[in-house]
Amino acid sequence: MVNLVLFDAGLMGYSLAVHILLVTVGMTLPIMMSIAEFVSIKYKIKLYDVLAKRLANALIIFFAVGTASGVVVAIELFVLWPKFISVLGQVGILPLYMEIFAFFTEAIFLGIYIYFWNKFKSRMKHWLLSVFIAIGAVMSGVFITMINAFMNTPNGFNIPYYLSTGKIIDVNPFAVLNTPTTWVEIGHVIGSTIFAGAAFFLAYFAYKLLKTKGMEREYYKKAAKIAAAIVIISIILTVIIGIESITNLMVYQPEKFAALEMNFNSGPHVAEVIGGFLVNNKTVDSINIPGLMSFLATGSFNGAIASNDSLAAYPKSTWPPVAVVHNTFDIMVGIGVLIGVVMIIFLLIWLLNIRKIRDKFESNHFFNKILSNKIFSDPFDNPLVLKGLIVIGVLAGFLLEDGWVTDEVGRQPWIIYNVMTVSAAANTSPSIVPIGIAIIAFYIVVLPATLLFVRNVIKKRDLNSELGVKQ
Amino acid sequence: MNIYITLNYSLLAILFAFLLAEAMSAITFIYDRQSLPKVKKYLDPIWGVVGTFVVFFVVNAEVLYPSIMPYIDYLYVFPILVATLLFIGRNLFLVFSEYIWKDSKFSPLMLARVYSLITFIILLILLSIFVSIISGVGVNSTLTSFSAAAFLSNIYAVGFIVGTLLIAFGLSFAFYKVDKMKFLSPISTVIGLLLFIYSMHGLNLNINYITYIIAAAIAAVSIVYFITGKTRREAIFVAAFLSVISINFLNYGKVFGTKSLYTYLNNSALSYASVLVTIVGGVILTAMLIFFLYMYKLPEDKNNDYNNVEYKDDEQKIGIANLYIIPNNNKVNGKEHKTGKNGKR
Repeated sequence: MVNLVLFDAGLMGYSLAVHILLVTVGMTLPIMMSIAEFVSIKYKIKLYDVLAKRLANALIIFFAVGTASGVVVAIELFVLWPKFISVLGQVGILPLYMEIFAFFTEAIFLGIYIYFWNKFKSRMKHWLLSVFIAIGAVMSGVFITMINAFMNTPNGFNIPYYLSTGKIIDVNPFAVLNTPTTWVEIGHVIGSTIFAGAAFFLAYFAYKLLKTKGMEREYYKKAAKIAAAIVIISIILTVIIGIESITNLMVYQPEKFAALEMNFNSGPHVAEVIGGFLVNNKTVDSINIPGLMSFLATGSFNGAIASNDSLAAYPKSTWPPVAVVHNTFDIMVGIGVLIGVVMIIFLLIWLLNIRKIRDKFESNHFFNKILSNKIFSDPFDNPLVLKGLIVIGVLAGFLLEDGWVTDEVGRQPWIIYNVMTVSAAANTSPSIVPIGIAIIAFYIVVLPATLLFVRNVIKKRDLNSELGVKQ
Repeated sequence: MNIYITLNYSLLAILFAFLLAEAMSAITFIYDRQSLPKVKKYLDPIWGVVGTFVVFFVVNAEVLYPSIMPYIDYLYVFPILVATLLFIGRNLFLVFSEYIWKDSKFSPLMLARVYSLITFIILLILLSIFVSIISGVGVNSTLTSFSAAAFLSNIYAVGFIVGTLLIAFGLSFAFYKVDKMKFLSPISTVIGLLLFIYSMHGLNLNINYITYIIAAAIAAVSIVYFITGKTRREAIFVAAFLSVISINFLNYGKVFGTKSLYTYLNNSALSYASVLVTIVGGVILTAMLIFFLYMYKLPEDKNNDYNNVEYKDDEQKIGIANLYIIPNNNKVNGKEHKTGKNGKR
C-alpha cells in the first residue's frame, strides 16, 4: 500500500524541483532581454537587438511551459494539501492573490512586447514594456516567497486559539505580507533564482564561445557579458542575504537552525559542525571547529549559543531529517561562497581587461609583467575560464535545488511551522496516485523537450540574415 | 446580493468567454485548415492571458470559499489533475506551432491541431465539473464521492455539454470569419441553444425570460454572419459573458444543486482585503487589457524607429559601452574550432 502522505509530499517536491528550474529561466530572461534591448537602443548596436529578439522568443517558449508548470504546482497545492489551503485561504492567501496580478502584468506585456514589436513608433516605449515584464516576473517570485515565509513563520491569526479549537479568529490578512522572515527570505530566494538563471545562460554562452567564431562568436560574447554581470551581482547579494537569513533562523526558527547546524550544544565556545551523520543522537564523521559557531553567531569565540538553538531542547518527533538538511546546508554554504569568490576574481580579471584600466596598470613594469600572464587575459577569450563558467552553470542548478531542499525539508514535519503537520494537511484520496505518476512522467518528457525545442529554434536561425547582412 | 459572490460569478463569466473563444479556435483548426493564420492572429497574443485567468478564478474562489475547496479537491481530484496536465500540453503545442522551424517534420497546422484537440478535452472536463458543481449531478449527498458513471448517464448533464459545444461550433464561424460551409453556423447554434435550454430544465436549473433573450442574441450573431458575412468579436464575448453570469444569477447562491453557497463563504477580514486587492488589481488589469486591445487594433507603422535606426559600427568607441560592446581583441579560439576536411565547420 502506498503511503499517500509520502506520495503527496514526493509529488509536490518533484513538481517544485522541476518548476523552480523553469522559474530561474523565466525570471532571468526578461532581465537579460531588457538590458540587451536597452544597450541596443542606447548604443545602436544591432547584435544586441538580435540578442533581445532571440531572448524574447526563448522567453515566450519558456513562459508557455513555465506558466503551465506554475498552474500544475498551484493546482497541486490546492488538491494535495486541502487542509493547509483551507487555513491559507482564511488567513494568508493574499500574496498568492496579488501574484495573479503580477502574472497578468507579465503575460499581457509579454504578448504586446513580442507580437506587436513593429507597431511601436518609439523604441524606448517598446523597451519600457520589457521593464514591466521583468518587474512582473520578479514580483511573482516575491509574492510566492511571502507564502513560503508564512509557512516558516506563521502570523496573522490567533495561533494558540487555533491549536486548541481548530477555529481561526483574529485574522489580519495584511500581516502575512510582513512576517519576521519575509523580507530576508525574499532577498535570498530572488537573488539565488536570478543567480541560477543567469549562470545557466552564462554556461550556455560560454559553451557557444568555445564552439563559434567570427560574428557569431561576437554575438555570444556580448550575451555572455550581460549574463556574467548579472551572475556577479546576484551571487554577492545572495551570499550576503544568506548570512542574514541564518541569523534570522536562529531567532525565529531555532529548531530548524539547530538541525541545519546539527547542533546539540549550548553555552559559550560552541563548535561549528561541518559534514557528518547522526547515529543514536550523536554526531559522527564530522569536522568540528571549536568556537566557530559561537563566533559566527555572536562575533566572539566565547559567545553563548542559546539553549533553544540546540536540538537537545526539542523532542525528537519534531526534528527534521537532521543529517540530510545539515549536509545540504553545508554544501549550499560551501559551494555558494566558493562560486562567490570565483566570480569576484573573474570580475577583477574582467575589469583589468578594460582598455583604460589595463593601460594604467601596464605603464608600471611590475604590473605589466603580472598582467602578461595568460590568466589575466580577457576571460571571455580564455578557454579555461569558459570551461569553468560551464561548471559554474551546472553547480548553480545543483545549488538552487540543494538550497530549496534545505529550506523545505528543514521545516519538516511541519507544513506550517508549529501549527500544522504535513500529514495532517495531506489529501489521502487514492485517486491521486495514477495521475500523480502521470505528472511525474509528463515532467520527465516536457523539460528536455522544451530545452531541445528552444535549442533548435535558435540553432535554425541565421545570424547573418537577422543582422540583415547580404550573403 | 452578496458582493463577493457577484465578483466570483463575474470572473467565472469572463473566464468562460475567453475559454469559449479558445474552444472555437480549436474547432476551427480541425474544421478548416485555411483558417490557421486568421485564428493564430487572435490566439498568439492572448493565450497567456487566458491561462492566467484560469489561475485568477481558482485563487479568487479559494479566497472566498476556502471551506468548499476540500470537497472540490476530494470530489474532482482526478479530472482537475488531468485538465492541469493537458493545460501544459495546450501551452506547449500552441507555442511549438508558432516557432516550429521550416524543415521540421511537424507542420504548424499539425501542431495547432494537437493543441485544438487538447483544448477541446480541457473544455469538456471543465464544463463537466461546472455542471456537476452547479447541479450536483454525480455527487453524493455528503459530498464525499463523485461518480463519473452517474454523471455520464445523466442525459441532461451530457445535453448541457453537447449543447455548449454546438453553440461554440456555430459561433466559431462568426468569431474567426470562416466561410467554408457557413450555413452550418446558424443551424449548429440554434440546435445547441435548444439542447442547452432543454438540459437546463432537466437539471432543475432556473430559467426565465432573460435566458431566452440571451439565447436569441446568440442565435442572432450566427444568423447575421450567415446572411451578411459580417460580425463583431466583442458581441460574442459579451454574449458568452452574459450567458454564464445569467446561469449563475438565476441559480443564485446555490451549489451542488441545493446547498447554499453562503455557508461556505469566508467571513474573515480576508474577504474584505481580497475585494480591495481585486478592485486595485482589477483597475490595473483593465488598463492593461485596454492597452493590449489598443495595440491589437493599431496598424503596423513602417516609419517606426526600428526601420529608421542607423546602427553604429562596432569599432566606434562609445564610452562605458566599451565594457559590453567593444571586443578587446579579435582572437578566435582556434583550438576549439573543429574544422572538417573541406575546411568547413
